[in-house]
Amino acid sequence: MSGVVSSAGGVEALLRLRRVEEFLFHEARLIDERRFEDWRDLYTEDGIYWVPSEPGQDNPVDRLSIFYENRELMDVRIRQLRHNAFWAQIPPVRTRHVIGNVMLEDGGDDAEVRARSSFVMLEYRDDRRRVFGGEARHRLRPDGDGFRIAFKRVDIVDCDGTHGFMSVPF
Amino acid sequence: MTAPEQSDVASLVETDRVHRRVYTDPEIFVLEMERIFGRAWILVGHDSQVPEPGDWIRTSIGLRDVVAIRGADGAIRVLYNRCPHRGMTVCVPAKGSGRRLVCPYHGWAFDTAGKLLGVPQPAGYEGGVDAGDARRSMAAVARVDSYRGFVFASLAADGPTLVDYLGDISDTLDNFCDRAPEGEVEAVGLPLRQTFEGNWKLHMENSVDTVHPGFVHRSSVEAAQGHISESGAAEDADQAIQMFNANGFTLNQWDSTDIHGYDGGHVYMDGFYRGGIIDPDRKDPVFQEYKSRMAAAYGEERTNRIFARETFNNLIYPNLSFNTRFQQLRVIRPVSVDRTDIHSYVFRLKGAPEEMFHTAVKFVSTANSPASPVLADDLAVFEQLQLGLNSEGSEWIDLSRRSGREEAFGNRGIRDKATSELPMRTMLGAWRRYMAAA
Repeated sequence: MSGVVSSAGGVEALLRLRRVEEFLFHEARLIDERRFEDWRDLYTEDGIYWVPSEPGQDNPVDRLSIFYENRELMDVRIRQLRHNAFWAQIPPVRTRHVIGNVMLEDGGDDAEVRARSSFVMLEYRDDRRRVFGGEARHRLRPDGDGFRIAFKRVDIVDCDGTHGFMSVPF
Repeated sequence: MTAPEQSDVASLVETDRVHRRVYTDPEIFVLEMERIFGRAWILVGHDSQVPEPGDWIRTSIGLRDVVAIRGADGAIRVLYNRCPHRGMTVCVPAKGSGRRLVCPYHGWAFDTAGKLLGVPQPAGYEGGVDAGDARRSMAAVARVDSYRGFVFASLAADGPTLVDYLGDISDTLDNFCDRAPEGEVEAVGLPLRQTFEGNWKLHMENSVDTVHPGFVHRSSVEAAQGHISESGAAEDADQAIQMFNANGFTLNQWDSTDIHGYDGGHVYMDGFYRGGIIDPDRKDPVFQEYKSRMAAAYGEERTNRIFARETFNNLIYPNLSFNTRFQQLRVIRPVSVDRTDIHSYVFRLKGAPEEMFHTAVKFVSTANSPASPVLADDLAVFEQLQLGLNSEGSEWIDLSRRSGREEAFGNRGIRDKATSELPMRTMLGAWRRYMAAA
């Protein structure tokens, strides 16, 4: 990390941070409103969504993962979420994200913006409540007035813990 | 409720049906922990998890917390994870290493065989404390043995040897290892850990139930089919999508494969993955390289025999389920009568191209993650199944499909078409024998 974008960077930097924050809020809202196709379309064609199963995991190829999905797999997951015999989602979950601590990192590929944020996701289904939380790391590519997600890594604090089934992305 | 009588317990399993109490009664569960998990050979780990003297892992046999530790002499021992002084858990982290185990509570120290090395203030004990005093050492589990690197333990001092216990199912463990050019596998990383609110036997039975995929996994099958029909050929689809799609076998297709059961309660089913990267005879360059390394190690003929041994889920009674083609191993850990944890491990084939391991990692993640589109449906169904079993109204569960149509197979085995309920009858037959023996 070569530096953190801060208010010391002036109004320009603050506006940039605000644009990224709004994008992250928007992404979370799409999940919470079950607009999964719109969520998928935020990703670039080669976009990846990854949730490791070990703290500090280096990569998704030689250690197990909770989610590791390209656009193809996102498409299949969404088709399943829309299916009327998806037993794990009868009744469907309700979720609500709270996102904060958004920080931008400079450096790396100039074409991409790197953001780190913390999140809490409340989940309710069939009289059961769960709370997930952790850190998301986004690699965002500027696209028109907004961004598209090239890579999203989510480290939930209990990634190596014992979990019941889960079906929607964080 | 009073403890069930022996005859009472045996009467809960008949040839073609089982009483719902077998899945719902807490007293039965307590008895299972004593009579099945307290006697059978239970997997406690793999050689590669404790490579050096002093390495240990914390694991369990039924509800009993134990430590598998490699001694200074290279042998693996399994110790009850309990200090003989006040009962404290001696090994607290999931794994560790050292020449001594020291109890966190009052500092009693033990060697890697569990023998007492010393206590603080020995003068406080009348006559002092002898190093090695058996009453003041960590207790060792009665028997430990390993098969091709898989370490099993039995709490019973008497009973069949591990090799006798496994019988012919050992052939599938052999195949698990023989698929490595070096003949050995290695456990890698942490397991995925899932939990569900249901009895442990529901998972074991479901792993070899070939009628459920067409119903339980319909959503992931149709999601995969929908994706494939819009985007191109199945062989070009992502490995995970090919896996989801494979569950779309029709019942007639299932019946073109066989399912096998052994006296000891062990069961396995034939492989059914066809085409693309999940095909047993893949055409891609990685697999060709792997095949040539296998042929160099074993010769062409034996390599072909190893690959021809094509099975899907292989179950070692009471709580082990593994897949030889994708180096997956699940340990089913009973927690209570209606709560079960599943620990899913992936193994690396020693001497194989690293990409073979990546395929295994993807298989195990796809099939075992709590977010798996396949496993989520299984776990959701187990939970509703447990609720159904809790309801009165009908006391018996029907297990009669294709009953009596089995043919003899191998050594003390039977075989039938894969839609048979033979696996449930086989496992419950073993259950009855364990539970009826005082």
